[in-house]
Amino acid sequence: MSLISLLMLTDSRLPAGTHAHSGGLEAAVAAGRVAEAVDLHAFLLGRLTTTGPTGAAFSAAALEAASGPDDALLAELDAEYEARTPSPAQRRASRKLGRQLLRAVRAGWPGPALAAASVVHPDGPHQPIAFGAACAAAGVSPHDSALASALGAVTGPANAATRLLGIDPDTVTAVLAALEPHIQDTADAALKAALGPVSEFPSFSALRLDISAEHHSTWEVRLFAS
Amino acid sequence: MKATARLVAEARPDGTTRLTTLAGQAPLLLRQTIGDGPADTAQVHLVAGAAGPVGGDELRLSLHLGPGARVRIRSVAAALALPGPQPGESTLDISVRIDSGAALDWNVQPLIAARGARHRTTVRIEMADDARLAWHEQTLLGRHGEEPGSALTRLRIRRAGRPLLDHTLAVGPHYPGSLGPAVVGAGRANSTTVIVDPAWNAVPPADRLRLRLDPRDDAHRAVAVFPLDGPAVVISALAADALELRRLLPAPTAAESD
Repeated sequence: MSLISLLMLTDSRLPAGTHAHSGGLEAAVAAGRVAEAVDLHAFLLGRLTTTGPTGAAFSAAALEAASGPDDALLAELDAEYEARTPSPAQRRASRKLGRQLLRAVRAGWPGPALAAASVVHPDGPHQPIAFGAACAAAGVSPHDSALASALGAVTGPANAATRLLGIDPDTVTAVLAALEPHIQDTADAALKAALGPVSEFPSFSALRLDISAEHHSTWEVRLFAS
Repeated sequence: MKATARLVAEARPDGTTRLTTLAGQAPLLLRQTIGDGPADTAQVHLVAGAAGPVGGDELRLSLHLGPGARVRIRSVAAALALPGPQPGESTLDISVRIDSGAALDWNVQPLIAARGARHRTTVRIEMADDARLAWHEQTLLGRHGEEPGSALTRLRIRRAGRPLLDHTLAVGPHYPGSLGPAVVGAGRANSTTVIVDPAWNAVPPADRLRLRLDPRDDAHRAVAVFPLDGPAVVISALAADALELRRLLPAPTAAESD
């Protein structure tokens, strides 16, 4: 299993478009719900415990499905993830990120896993499905895939925080480092869930993020797409 | 306490609905009542036969609506989840099957998670592609002025064998991060409404509801309408307290499909 591939896939400089998304932080900052480091920690913890386990479980399962590849299972995973994403704005963002990730990864690790994931839906696969397929193509293990997916639930908004809050990047790093045990716990729980039936996979909702995503998508001027 | 309740409904040839099974055990009791809704609909009230749910309770409720049956579920009072003498959560598992042409209208009083309580409600609905559903549930964290308890609600709906919605809201001190700005923040009242109605294939329901609901994302009141695949919507609402939640959802949205 390739550690180097894993590091490349999680590098924020991978041209997969994640820098354009704040994971709902832009709306939270604009509403005054997140202003300081302590709020950022609470925000990221809330994201990690909701979208974190769901994304990580689907990534790990999609990795196995894409390794076959098992087209029917990939389609089932995508449909189940869709059912866990009621917000149309979040659905659009997730499929867009999925498409962009496949495009970026295809350049480095072409193969049947990516091809199978790309046809799962006309608008592209949901992001965790694409990430699982990317990990399959690059030879990353299910454990590392779940870990990287859980980490990704917080690094995207954390990177956005330096722009949105104007706080010291070192402070953001400290907030992220404090989340480390929670990230490991999230990945472990998700891996366990991924061994069971897809219908039982986690489906935690971040209620305020769901509602804000719909409103944010109608803003005329915004720094981030979501 | 462990308790099981079961309801089976069938449509009579004249279109009215007969309850062929209506059985419950304390604290989960079912009583048929005469409602002000449509005459062809059987109305049933959930009646709490004891305090609770209390930590450690395991409650199960199953509903089966046969082809064409119409059932309306209400409750006489809010359910107050309390911590029990043993550590551990109380659970309520609701399993629902809605056959072809049948309609379920579920709109019960809120679940209140008292301080220290941990309650879990799991709802699994299997519905035919021409069945109708109006589901409305509310959760309040803590009684008035009280510290919040913890409540997890999972609502999973499959329509015509495909997943339509799988939504878990886990809030309270037992769930790290849930009282932060990404989930409910200071909001102590929330509700989830799901409406599935094949008649809506003609009129986009989301647009119609948006006009009536005044979507907003304020500190004390937030609501959004999410159109799902097919003739279905979810309305998620978050408010500072029960009063603000009522202001947010003024119309009897859950009866929309009547």
